[in-house]
Amino acid sequence: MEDSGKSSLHVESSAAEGGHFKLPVDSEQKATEFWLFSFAKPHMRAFHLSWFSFFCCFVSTFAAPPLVPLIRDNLNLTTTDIGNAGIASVSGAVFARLAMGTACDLVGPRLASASLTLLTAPAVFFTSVINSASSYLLVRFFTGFSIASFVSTQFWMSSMFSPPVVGLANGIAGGWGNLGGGATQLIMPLVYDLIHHIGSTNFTAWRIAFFIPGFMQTLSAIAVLALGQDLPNGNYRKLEKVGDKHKDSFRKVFYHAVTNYRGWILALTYGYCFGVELTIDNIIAEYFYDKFNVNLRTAGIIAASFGLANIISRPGGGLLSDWMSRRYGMRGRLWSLWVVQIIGGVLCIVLGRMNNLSASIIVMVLFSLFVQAACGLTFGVVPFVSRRSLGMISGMTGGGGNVGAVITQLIFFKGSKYSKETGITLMGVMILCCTLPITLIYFPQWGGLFCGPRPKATAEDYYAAEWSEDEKERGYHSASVKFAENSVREGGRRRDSSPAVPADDTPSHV
Amino acid sequence: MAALISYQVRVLPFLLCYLGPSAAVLFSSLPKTLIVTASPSPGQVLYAGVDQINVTWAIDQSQPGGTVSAYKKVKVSFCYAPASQADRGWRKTDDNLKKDKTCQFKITTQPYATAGSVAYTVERSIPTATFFVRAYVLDSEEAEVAYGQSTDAQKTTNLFDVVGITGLHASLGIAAACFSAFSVVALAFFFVVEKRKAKK
Repeated sequence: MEDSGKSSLHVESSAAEGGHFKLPVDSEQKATEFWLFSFAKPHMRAFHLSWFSFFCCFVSTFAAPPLVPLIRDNLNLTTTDIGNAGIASVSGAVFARLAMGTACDLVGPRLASASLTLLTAPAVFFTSVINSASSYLLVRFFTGFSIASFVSTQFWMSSMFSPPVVGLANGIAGGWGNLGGGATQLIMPLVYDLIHHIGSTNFTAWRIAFFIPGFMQTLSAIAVLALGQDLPNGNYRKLEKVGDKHKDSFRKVFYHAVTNYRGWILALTYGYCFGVELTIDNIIAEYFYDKFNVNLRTAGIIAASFGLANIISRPGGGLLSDWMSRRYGMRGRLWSLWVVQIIGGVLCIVLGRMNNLSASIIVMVLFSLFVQAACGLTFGVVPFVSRRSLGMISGMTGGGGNVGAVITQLIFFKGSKYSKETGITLMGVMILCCTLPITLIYFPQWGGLFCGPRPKATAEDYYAAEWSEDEKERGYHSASVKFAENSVREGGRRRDSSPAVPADDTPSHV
Repeated sequence: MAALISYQVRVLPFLLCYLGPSAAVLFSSLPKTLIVTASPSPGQVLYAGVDQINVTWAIDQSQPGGTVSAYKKVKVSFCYAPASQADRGWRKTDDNLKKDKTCQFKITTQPYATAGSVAYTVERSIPTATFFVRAYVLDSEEAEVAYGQSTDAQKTTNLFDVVGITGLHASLGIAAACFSAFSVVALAFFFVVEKRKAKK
């Protein structure tokens, strides 16, 4: 890329900066607008590539549940085997998401996500030849690693889109990816029916069906490699070679991620919106099937509708986050996250108490809207926690989501200690408890839920604090400085309506 | 007492005819009026798609059975033995026959006669499990009115095993290996191209 990316222009403006981008951009060349139906290089193209490859990973990870009635007979599985494999499918990604965060910080989201996706594709293909409970567990475990590509999705969107639209971009990319968990409940039975109809016996047809998610995964990863780029100005390797991007050290990135308490809090709370979503993906079809005696296909459709709500719910969360930020800044983002997740918890408690099928479905749909919106709202806050360790913080939060899923399934849905409905109600109570820590998040420059910002604190100080004096002297922190300038709007609406606010001015609140 | 029970048993099919198929039929209310024998010896292993079994059934003359005039059809099925139902909620036995999942594989349905038999090749869709054979007698509304089974009431005797097909084929393994290799090689290819581009 010809442009060096070092622009002397500060602020967001609607005229295209840097000349050669179709979308308007800010000083970091990040797009300030989001055009859903465009494939313009590099911003919107990155968006479509990342959400689709993440979607394919979700389709693969949850491809087994809708076919379990066949697999369990073919492999002679017990309920325990199936439950263990369900836990395994979401536990692999706990560490994979952390690793992905680091990989994104170090080699860029394009290579990181494509590597993960291509290296987990064999697990999907080999699902077709499993023959025992342990091999079933292993393929689900390794396939589950692929949903760590969530982190690269969020990282990539945070690198391509400016603060005013980052919540929306993250929300749609994450939501449409998670959609795969719902879509697969419809896709896999359909593919199986087709193959069975053509002539295979049932125990062969389900095996052949797994090649479809495998193909999708491989092709989407190749598209990411061939057509995508890490940053608006190019790929990491090239930029590092040219000297435009400093190759950061893992130790420093790691240190600044784990010492930032906000990352840990968000990891916990994400465990109780996204983790809950994963748990529901694994248990809800069986819940409706057993409690209300609907047939398997109906149970599958109900299960699918939970995941399909992601089309609007998670993007809706991101949109709400950005909208609240325009009026109330970061405090608005935090408040909306807290309130929406609390409502999600209450609806979860109610869902476990419903004894009527239609009421249950209505509550479940409402519950899915709120819990998935909370996921979108979480990633409206994550891009601001750290600039240097963005990848790792995204990884920690994402990993926390999976930890929540593992813990919840272990406590409430393994074995027969609690009936499924009691488990769901208790899960709702746990959501409420684990959402409280959001009250503790505080940004000195923008405030927290109950406290306003500190008078002299600035975004520039906050982000520059991640770099040592030595590094600052060498200019390594220049990207963080630009980010701080572009985040000035997180201070909320100011009395003076001038769009260009110098970075060292303190924002006052509405 | 026996007279009362046999009266109830005689009345039940009538009631069922009146109430229609929506009334829940309880397994515990069915009289065991058929004697069912299945050819596999206890513990014998049958291979799905290959082995054949013979099932015969006959009215048990010693049982004060239900109203024989209500008997219209005989449905014979493979049913899971308790060992194959353990920790598998989708095969659970429920007294309400509408919810009962014990007998999932139908062998045959025939018009009622005092005795009958069927020769059956174990289908390839039957999974690996331990089974026994049960025959239900159905009335004109397809509701169960009597039964008989090849095992005892505790379902412990005369059980046989079926070994289902694996569904595996060599071509599956080869295809999986090829596509996996392709994925990994594609990744390596792009890495090399990246490195070359960065060098330029």
